[in-house]
Amino acid sequence: MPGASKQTELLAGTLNMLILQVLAPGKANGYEIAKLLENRSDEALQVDHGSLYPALRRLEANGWVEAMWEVSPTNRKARYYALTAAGRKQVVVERERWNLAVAAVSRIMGPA
Amino acid sequence: MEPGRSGCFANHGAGMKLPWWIRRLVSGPDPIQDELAFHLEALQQERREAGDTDAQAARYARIKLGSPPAIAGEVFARDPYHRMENLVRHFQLAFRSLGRQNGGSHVLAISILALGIGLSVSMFSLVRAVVWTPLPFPDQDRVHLVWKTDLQTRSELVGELAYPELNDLRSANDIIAYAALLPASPYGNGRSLQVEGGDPIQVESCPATPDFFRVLGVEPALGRNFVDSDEGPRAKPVVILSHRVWREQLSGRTDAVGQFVRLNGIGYTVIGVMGPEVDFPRGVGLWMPMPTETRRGMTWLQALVRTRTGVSRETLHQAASRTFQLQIADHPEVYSVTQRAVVTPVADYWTGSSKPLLLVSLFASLLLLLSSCASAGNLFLSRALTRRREIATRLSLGSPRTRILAQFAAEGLVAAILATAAGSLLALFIIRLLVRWAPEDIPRIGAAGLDLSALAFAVGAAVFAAVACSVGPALLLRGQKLDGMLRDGGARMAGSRGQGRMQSAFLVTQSALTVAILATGFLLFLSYRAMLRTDTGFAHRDALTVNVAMRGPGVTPETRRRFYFDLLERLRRSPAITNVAAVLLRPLEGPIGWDTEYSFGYEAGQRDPNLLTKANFEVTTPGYFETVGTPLLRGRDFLETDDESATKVAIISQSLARRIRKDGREPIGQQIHSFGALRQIVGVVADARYRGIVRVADDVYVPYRQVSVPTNYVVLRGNVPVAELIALLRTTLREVDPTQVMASEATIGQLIDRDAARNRFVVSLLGLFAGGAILLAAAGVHSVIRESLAVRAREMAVRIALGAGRARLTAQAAGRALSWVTAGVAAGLGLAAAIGQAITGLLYHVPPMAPRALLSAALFVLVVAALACLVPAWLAAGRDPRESLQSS
Repeated sequence: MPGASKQTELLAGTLNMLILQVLAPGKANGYEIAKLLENRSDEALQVDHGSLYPALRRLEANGWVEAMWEVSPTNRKARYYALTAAGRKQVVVERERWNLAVAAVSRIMGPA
Repeated sequence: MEPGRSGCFANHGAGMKLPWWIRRLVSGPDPIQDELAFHLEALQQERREAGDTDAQAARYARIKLGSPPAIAGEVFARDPYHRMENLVRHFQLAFRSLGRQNGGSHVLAISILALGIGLSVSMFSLVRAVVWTPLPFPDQDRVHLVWKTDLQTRSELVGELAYPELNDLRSANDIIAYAALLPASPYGNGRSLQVEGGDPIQVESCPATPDFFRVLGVEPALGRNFVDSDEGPRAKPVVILSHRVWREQLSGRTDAVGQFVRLNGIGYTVIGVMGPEVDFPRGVGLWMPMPTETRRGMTWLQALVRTRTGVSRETLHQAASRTFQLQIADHPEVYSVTQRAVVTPVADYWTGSSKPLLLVSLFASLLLLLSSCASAGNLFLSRALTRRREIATRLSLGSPRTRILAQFAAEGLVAAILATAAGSLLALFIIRLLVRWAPEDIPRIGAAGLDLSALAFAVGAAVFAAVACSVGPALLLRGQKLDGMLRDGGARMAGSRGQGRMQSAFLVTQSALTVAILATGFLLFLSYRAMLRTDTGFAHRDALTVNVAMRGPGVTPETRRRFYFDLLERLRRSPAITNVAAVLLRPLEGPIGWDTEYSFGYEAGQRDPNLLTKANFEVTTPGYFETVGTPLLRGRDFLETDDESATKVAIISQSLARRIRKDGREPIGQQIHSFGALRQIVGVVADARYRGIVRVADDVYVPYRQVSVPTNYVVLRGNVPVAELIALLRTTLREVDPTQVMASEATIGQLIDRDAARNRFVVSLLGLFAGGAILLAAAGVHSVIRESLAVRAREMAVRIALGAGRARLTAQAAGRALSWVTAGVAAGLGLAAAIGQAITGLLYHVPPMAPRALLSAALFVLVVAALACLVPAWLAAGRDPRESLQSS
């Protein structure tokens, strides 16, 4: 069990980053976020919708996103998430951290 | 997507920086259900648009999203807000369980904790007010009293200093920043104070050398401090008033400085008024410069010194010791080779004997707190034990252990919080009661209250209590095998190992603490009883003593004798008065009095020149012994004819007479060299405790007509109530000399009571604690036995049905608990012996390990525990087995 939960946390960290990145252009609801993640990765990433919502709650608790009820294009009430000012800063931070990590991993892996 | 904001967050613009949990609190329950519903709907819509049937779309959406309740559960579990909600729920449950089944034992546990917390918080407040609150003197750690003791003195006669010794001490100026002298005894320096146009009143005064307030580090609130030129025979008489005297006698006038007041009839200029916080020595109303003196034999003072920064008490002690050693070399005719320096921190001097007594009481109350925690912990454990099946069921249904543990912790915490609240309220009440109950001479006790630090202490106690309450259930949960719990959860065999061990640990702890508290109480009680039974040598408790020190300009020994003779003669003529006399210093006025060195005439020439023998010195008029009830054992009392022209005479106490007899001589007719003259011993009186009930000293009495030392107190007995005696004395005094003032009326009985008051106070406190401890112990034992009987009800019923003897069953049921109590009692005896050793200094005529005290305490606890055990066991063993079997 402990090993598994660690793995989830690791993924969750990435998921946080991805959600923030996806929200950078504008607000979106949970369904849209999941869709965007899948579409942008050309379906390579399959988002576990179940872990999406806990992640959104976490981001909300950290003050990086805020939520509001709005009317969706399908004319239904949906909960929309948008980046806060702190969230925008966090996007930059996460991106830098990711680039560093990618560079480091690439150096280790070397040219294939 | 227009930002047409609606719903819960409409009020919170993006700029609002409220913490998430407040926003969440405002927004109500998490909207996850609605969100998931939308998500599901959107997924279905997507598939329908792609051409799926409704059923296909629904299936796809369910697979894609997963189980909505599971996601909601995940969100719920991870959200910090919900974690808090869980906690709230635990507390709600904990509160609710107060009123539910077993609520009785919960309430009992809380009451027990409240009692422990209330008593210990009260004692903490008292000790803090009296002992721990700093005095109003800056850097009080640097202020000390310096005096002397002599290795040869039989008792604790205080070695006083003389005026010239101030300069001796000042020579250590690398150690001492400021030094001053003040009287060693806080009484006997009363002055009659007369403010223009008013009646004279008697006020305690403190003659002091000019640096007195500089040592204390305080300045007058009004006017100026003493300066060196205020001292000496040519200086203008000046006085500094206490805040109280300034307020009461000068009605708080701001122009008080520069006013004239009369002290003993002599005009003094008021140069300053101290602030209300400066009350040193205690109860003093005015300070004035001390008359300078060159004679080294005039010892009546003590030194008050402020050391330089960073100088320790030890260093000061060494410096004072060096100074006093030099004195022996420089003035061998004055100083005893065995004199030693004593350095007392000003705070200790201030609190006196109340400090150790209060600390003992605080310690006892802390033991009681521990005991109440053990008792409450035991109750909580018992409660958890009876709920084992419920716990096991919950565990098997997948409730995490942490959640169950959190619930127990919440219950413990709720109990602790309620107990702290109730205990603090109780403390408020107890503090008030104790302050009223306490003897007046415990300084600053009136300032005791439930302040922040006392509350902090209460919170500390509560945390401790909470831990005590939840540790039992927690350990119960740890490492339990689920199936085991389910199996014997309902009908647990008494004596299952884990919790059995813990119950025993609680029982042992509690019995040990109870024995320790009881034994300490017994020791102090025996000591107090020994005090009360002490023959003080003053048989007439009804004899009234009044300070009538004759004061005024031009008072000479001759006019004083005349005054006293007239006063006593007039009083004697009154039919209401049976005995009347006068004495230098009345009994039990404190540990410091007049000391006299003495030697016997027959010792001349063969006495070790370094030998120092000191006795309590009293001056009396004829008839004194009969008045106070000190038996005259041999010879005669003084007579009016024992005057300046007659042979100088003395009366000695029996202890001195015994010493003469040991040298093979008959005391009557011997010569005693004392107070500057050779006097013939004409009488022997019983030993008397002038310096305190517990202080043994030899006494030398001389007649008032043969010394210049005054008699300051009138003692009288009569056949009318004390109030009438006082009134009679007042009118007579007015007739003899209207300018004289009388003060501090007290009967010998009151003086004795006052001397024992602190001990009585502490004994009553300990009695209170001991009573509480016994109750707690009984409750603790009872709860254990009750739980064990409940668990064994079926087993016992079967055995009764099979014909087991009632006595045997009772013994078996109670045996385990009683054996642990016995073990605790044994441990408690050890603890009590250690406490006894630690408080040896407080015990009078009681050995620190008095078997009487220790064994009575042990026996008492055993008897109470046995009753608490055997009675319910006996009742249970006599129950109709059919009833128990049916009910279970």
